[in-house]
Amino acid sequence: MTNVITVIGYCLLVIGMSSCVDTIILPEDKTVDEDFWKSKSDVQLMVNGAYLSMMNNAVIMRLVVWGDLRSDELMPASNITGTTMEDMIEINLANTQPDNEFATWGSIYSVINNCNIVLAKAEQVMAEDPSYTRGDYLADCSQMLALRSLCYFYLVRNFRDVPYITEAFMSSDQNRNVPQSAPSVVLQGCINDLEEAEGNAVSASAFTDWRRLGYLTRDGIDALLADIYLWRGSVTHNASDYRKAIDYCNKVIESKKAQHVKGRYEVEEKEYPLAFGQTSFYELFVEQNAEESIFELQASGVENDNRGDQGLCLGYCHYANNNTSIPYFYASPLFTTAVNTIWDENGTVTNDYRRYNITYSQDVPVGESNCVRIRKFVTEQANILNAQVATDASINRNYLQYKQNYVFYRLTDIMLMKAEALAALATDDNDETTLREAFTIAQTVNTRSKVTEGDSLKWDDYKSAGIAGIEQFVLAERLRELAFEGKRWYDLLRYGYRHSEGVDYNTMLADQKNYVPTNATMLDLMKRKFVNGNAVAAKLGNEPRLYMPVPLADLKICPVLKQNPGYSSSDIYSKNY
Amino acid sequence: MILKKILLTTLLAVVCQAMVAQGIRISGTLSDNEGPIMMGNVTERDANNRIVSATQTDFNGNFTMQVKSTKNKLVFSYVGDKEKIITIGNQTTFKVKLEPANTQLKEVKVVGRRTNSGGLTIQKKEMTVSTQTMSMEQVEGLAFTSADEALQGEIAGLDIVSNSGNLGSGTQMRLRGVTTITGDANPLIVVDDKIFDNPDENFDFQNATEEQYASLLSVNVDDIASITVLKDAAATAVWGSRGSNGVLLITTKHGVRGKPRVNFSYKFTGTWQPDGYKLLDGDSYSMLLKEEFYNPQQQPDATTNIWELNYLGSDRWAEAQNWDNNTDWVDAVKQFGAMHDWNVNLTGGGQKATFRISAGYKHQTGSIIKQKFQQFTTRLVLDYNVSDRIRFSTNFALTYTGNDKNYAGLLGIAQKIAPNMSIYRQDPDGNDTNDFYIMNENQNGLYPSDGNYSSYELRDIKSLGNPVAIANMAWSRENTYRLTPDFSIKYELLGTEAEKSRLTFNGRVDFDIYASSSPTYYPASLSSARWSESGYNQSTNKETNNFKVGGRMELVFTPYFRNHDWSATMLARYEMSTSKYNQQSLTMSELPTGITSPTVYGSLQSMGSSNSRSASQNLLYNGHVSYKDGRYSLGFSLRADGDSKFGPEHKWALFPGVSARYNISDEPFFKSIKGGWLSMLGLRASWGVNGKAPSANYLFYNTYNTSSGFYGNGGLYSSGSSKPTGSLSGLKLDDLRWEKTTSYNLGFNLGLLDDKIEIDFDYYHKETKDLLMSSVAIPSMVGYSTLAYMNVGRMDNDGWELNFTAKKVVKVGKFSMDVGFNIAQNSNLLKAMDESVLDALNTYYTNYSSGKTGNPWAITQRGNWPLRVQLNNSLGSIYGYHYLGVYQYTYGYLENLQKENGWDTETFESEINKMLAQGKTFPVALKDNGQVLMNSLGQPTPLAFNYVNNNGQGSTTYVFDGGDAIYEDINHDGQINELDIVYLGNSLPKVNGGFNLTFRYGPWSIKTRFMYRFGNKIVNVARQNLENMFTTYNQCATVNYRWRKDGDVTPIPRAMYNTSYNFQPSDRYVEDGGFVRFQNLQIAYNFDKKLIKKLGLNQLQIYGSMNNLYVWTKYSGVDPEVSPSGYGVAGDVSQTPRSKQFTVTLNVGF
Repeated sequence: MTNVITVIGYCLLVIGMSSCVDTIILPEDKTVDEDFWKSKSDVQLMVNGAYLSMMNNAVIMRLVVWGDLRSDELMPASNITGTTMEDMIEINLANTQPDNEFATWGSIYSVINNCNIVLAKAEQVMAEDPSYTRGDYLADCSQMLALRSLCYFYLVRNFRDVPYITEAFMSSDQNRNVPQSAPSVVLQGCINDLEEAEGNAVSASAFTDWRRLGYLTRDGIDALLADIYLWRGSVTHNASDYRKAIDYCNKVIESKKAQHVKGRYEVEEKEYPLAFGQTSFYELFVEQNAEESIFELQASGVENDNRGDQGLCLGYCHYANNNTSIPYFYASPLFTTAVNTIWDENGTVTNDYRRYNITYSQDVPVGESNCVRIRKFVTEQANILNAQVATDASINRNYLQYKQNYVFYRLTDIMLMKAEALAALATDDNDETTLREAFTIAQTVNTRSKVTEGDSLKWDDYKSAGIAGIEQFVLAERLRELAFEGKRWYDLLRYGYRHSEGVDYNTMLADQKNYVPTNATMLDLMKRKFVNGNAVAAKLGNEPRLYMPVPLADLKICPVLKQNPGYSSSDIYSKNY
Repeated sequence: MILKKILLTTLLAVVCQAMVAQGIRISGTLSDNEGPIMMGNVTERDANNRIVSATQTDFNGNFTMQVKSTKNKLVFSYVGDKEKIITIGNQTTFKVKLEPANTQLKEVKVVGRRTNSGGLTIQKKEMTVSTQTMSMEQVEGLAFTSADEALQGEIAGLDIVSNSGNLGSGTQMRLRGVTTITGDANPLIVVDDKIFDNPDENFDFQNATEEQYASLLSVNVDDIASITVLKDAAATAVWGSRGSNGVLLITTKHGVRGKPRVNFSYKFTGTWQPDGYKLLDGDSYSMLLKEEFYNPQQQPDATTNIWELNYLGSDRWAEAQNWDNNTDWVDAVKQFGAMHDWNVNLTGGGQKATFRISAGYKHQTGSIIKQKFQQFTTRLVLDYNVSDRIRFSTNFALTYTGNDKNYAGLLGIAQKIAPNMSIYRQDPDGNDTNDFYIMNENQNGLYPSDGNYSSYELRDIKSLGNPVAIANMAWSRENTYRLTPDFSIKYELLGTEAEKSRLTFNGRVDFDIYASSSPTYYPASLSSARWSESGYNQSTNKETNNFKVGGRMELVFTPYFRNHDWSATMLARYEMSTSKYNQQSLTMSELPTGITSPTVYGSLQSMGSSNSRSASQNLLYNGHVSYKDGRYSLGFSLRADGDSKFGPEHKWALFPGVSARYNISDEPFFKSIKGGWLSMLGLRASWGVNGKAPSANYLFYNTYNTSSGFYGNGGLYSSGSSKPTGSLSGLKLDDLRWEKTTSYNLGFNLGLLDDKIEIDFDYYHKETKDLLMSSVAIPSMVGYSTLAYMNVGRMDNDGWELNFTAKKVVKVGKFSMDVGFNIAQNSNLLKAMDESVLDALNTYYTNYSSGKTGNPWAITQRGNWPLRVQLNNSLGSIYGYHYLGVYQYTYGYLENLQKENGWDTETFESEINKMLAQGKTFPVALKDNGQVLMNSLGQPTPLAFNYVNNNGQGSTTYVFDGGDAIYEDINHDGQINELDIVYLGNSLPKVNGGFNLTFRYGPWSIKTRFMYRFGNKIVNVARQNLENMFTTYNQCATVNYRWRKDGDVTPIPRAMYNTSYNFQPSDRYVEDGGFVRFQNLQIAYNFDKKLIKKLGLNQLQIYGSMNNLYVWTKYSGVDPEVSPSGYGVAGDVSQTPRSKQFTVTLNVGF
């Protein structure tokens, strides 16, 4: 019997020991939360990860579709088949359906969540890793707040009423049903965040390499603040917002001036540290990370996971893989020499470097005869200087190594924002000081790109045009300077809002009864790219239609979301079987 | 034998060393009533009843021997006498008299067949749970690649449908319905009490496009002794979290005592494909295409430039000879397949040890060309009784399978490809050369007249590729090794005496080692594309490794009751297992010609790897009590499962099971009633809970991917290196719970005429709560679009099953007959589900084409079946339009009639109504009384498909005309759109089962097996594609009856290339999937025993059998054996159908 007891004893012992064999197993190729957030480098990984998620082709493609395709800049290629193309055509013709691929915001919210994760988790690292100082922490926070605000700013400009989420989603037991907020709430949240971030932000001069432009530095934050104030001022017609916008523009300009290193041939002090017209395109879009740039998302080519899938490559160079020579988009007829609507500001059409640099006319398929191809973000060649070369293809960019940054803010953008704000602040058509200042800034931008030196733009020609004329001039200059950089649609919207009354930015569209009609001048500009754009203009006739529908997929699974009334379908699709 | 000797010697040597010091010599005599015993046995046994030394008595019954220890016992025995045991002690001489045994034996009937039930050995009549066992002897002589084929139609409630006729493709098994939405619904396979998982952990059951590695292939059918199917939850609760789909217990053969026997068997199986659809020949095909291209445009020159259809001379076009043939492509890819199956096994053993060693080799060529399957298996089973209290066993199996598959589905390609094209490139005289014919590249707007191009219109044919060339030049292989050794020990802690309580300790360690590699190669010579094409000389490889180790300890306690009415047995078990999995894949293209390995650097297309580990442990208590010799029995079990896949809150789950049985037939009052014809009537009831864990690991952690790419260093001359980035992989699942199925089962067992006829009946109700679903869509505002897993709803399964067997039910002289029959019915209902999940699952309607966010069903995307999962409906429901035939007359015909006869509007209307009443059909909108709807212009309203009045792009309105399909306008709104969709049936069978008949006459026997399924609908997608006349693919010969001109009455619409909506989902393609399959017919001859002995053999059998003889079905497709996957509909997408086979088996034993 003692034997038996011993054996049982041993059994129990073995059972007892093996019970300690844990059923907790950690993955080998990933780090779990409990082991993460221990050192400065962990935070760095996640901060860089947030930027990288913004670089995701889904995000960049949306910025192009929302900012450029909807405006008068781009036309979708007509001979590409597939659902992506169909969705783009829908948007181009303002037929957007709630199930449109580009009426989704998941990729942007993914960036927002990445920012929120860092904001929620980075603080605890200070206690773990002494080398992660409070200063480091605040600098990281400022970048994440700024990146998050940038995302919300895009969402507000494209969806208007969006859920404003500042907590980090990390677990399935959090409440995922977040209702939308009115745009004023979201933008005020962004402004508060940015003004907080601005105080802790890193100075651009703290870095000497790509990080000067690849991270959101103080310059980037100021640029974003200027942009948001300008937008809000345009919507609400609030003079103090315009003044704030000018203040932040000045801050950026001053900062860029201070950072400027004089070139070899630069004899006299320039008022704005801009490159010469002959080389500026090359520096900005071929060499990239130019001195006059402020914030660019950095693509490292081979190392970068996104490689050829970047939205820019798909949009402007190859739509599918290395073998397709056609892009999703062509520059609209506005850019062809035949129409000449945008380059003839002073009658000398051929006198602008930008005209040859940003588009070219070769390799355009038969169906796109009105259009030209885009060179900006595509070419790897030096500046092209005359009309003959402008037909040159020479853009055999390798799909797999598409090392092209996406430029968010650069100095001329800021200058023109300031000009736009000044024009808006002008008390009346006789407010010559303000209007002339606005004119001069835009003129500086324009003159920089002249092939033959000397200024053909004369204040005397514009003096009589008044506020409206200067406003139009600045708008046109923004198109010439910032074409295909995801700006135009918002420029048009700001213009439209400035000339619309009764916009209620404190109420969601779904809760409004009457909708503000869209400004007719804006629609006239918008529809220029079509042979007959009346139908499109009609569809964009009121405020809700200027925004994207709330994604159908989310609407179906999140009961608290409300559809933009411009897209709410009557219940014809309900079935009763 | 040698092994046995070595073991014995070793053991004895050890024992001797320990005992030799105490040895003394004893002597004595042995006698019984009839005097001294010669050759009586005297053995010395130690405390564990091991024989330590032995001797035999001489002529006078005397014996003398050296004993090892005085503490040992002496055992005296002789045939016909009772054994006598005496402890040695101080005694040295023994005078023993044996009592005669009572040799007056009555007729002995062995009734108490014992069965293994959850680790306990229980008498059959005490089985409280619902199980069914199939002995593999029943199907001996039939050829199966894996065991599931043998089970088809044998087990009531187990619905087995083979995946396809491709070699090694396995089957889909559903026991008592489906209790999961996206997970694996196949029952758990347990081999010798050891879980046999599908080794490929990453297999996606919901979206599987490729065929899964059939896990059962790793068990040689010839090594299987029997298969038991555990059906109710009380039985499967013992398997806890793994048993929710039911359990298949496979028992392999063990060695049997006796002198070594060698058994050899050889099977030859011939297989061939059944006749499929009759397709168009080259001439009819090119005629059809010409009509198809002409009809939509009505342009006489529609096909002028498509030289491939124009039968030109070689003088006009160099390739002309390749396009004027009548090639039977299907025939070209079919062949007669042969399988050779050799098995040899050696079995034997004595009191101490038994063993069985087997080896098998199978070589099979497919009924489709270039398919080859090879399997090599060995299994070593050794049971060694160290003493009658300690037993050591090992079971060691190795399986290698090599499966040479086709690179692509050849039969599918052969059905579609142009029949006027030639297999081999033909010279200008029309003679075949040695090259395969590969079509030239195509480009929009270019034709053969423009150079080396094929017509753009035939691009679909071009992208199919030449199937014979693909078979010969491209390949896809799968090689797997599986090693499953286990070692176990059994120790009777309290001895084996009958009148004492018993306590048994069982310990086991088992391993499951799996490695597979699946390389593929696609050479450039199969396409005419440029060198820089990404598919040029493409080679891929995927390597999978899986290692699992498990350990188990259990104590079985069988108390001894003085009151013999009571008996009980119970066990407590602890088990743990841990497994490790990794997979790597690599795709390389643009390799130099001749290089077929992706390890050479070409252009890297993709590479990936994944790995995971998991661990689980469980504690089990299982008990069984019976009273009055099994008249009343009660079983109860409780299992606790801990799994590393769950977070701390839900890591452990409890799975209880209770079952009871009452054998009324054992009641004394019943004995008088039954009068001999009723031998058993037992009522059973059981209740139990099963669970299911998700298949993914680490779900409850926030995992960070710390190598998710790099950020920075943009621009041409940027300085500074780019920085690594990290990201959070997804939301952690804090609230994930086990999916739990609670079920009860009521049933009875009826035995008639001494159990010659047995009937089992079971009714069950299963309720699955917290249904696990993978990839559940969540609002994208949280930064992620899906949750890896979520508990989403509740599902019920109700059903009943009946099993009937009658052995030798007819017996006339030398003739006898057995009958077996089973039938099962299951109904499946989705009881509750998150509204948002339902919405995300179900297709929604959109006017634009596919590919949108969510789960769209574009009305204009032709031929797509909408998917609906509805509450209080079963999964697999089919929805579509109601098809009413083909419009006989065109709209223009009506207009002409009016013009010719000069009818005014009223006459026109009444004339149309008259014609409608005659049964003529026109493409006009009808009112709900069936009369024509006239529009404001006084014309009949044309019927439109999906009328969309939007002035922008994307308008999809199509106006029906003569020859188009008639869909019923259910809501009479003058258009056919999504609102006209109706319910068309369900993919799940109402009843399924099988029956078998066995006839014996003398040495001859004939066995037949049938299986059937009834009441299910199948979507004949194959026919939908073969009769659509919408693409350039080859079509079924039935399209020769297509509508061509006004007045044609035909069920086949007109040919319209890339236009019209003539093959929308409708009941035209929903067919009755019921069938009865004559599965097997076997004829066997048992040779006379004497004759066998004369030949020096101890076994000789010859069988001839046929598989898949005939299918009785209304289904028009090739094979009605189609089942739905997940929540989708059952669509026959024309996989390789099950082949027909005959087998000849030779069994020889030495």
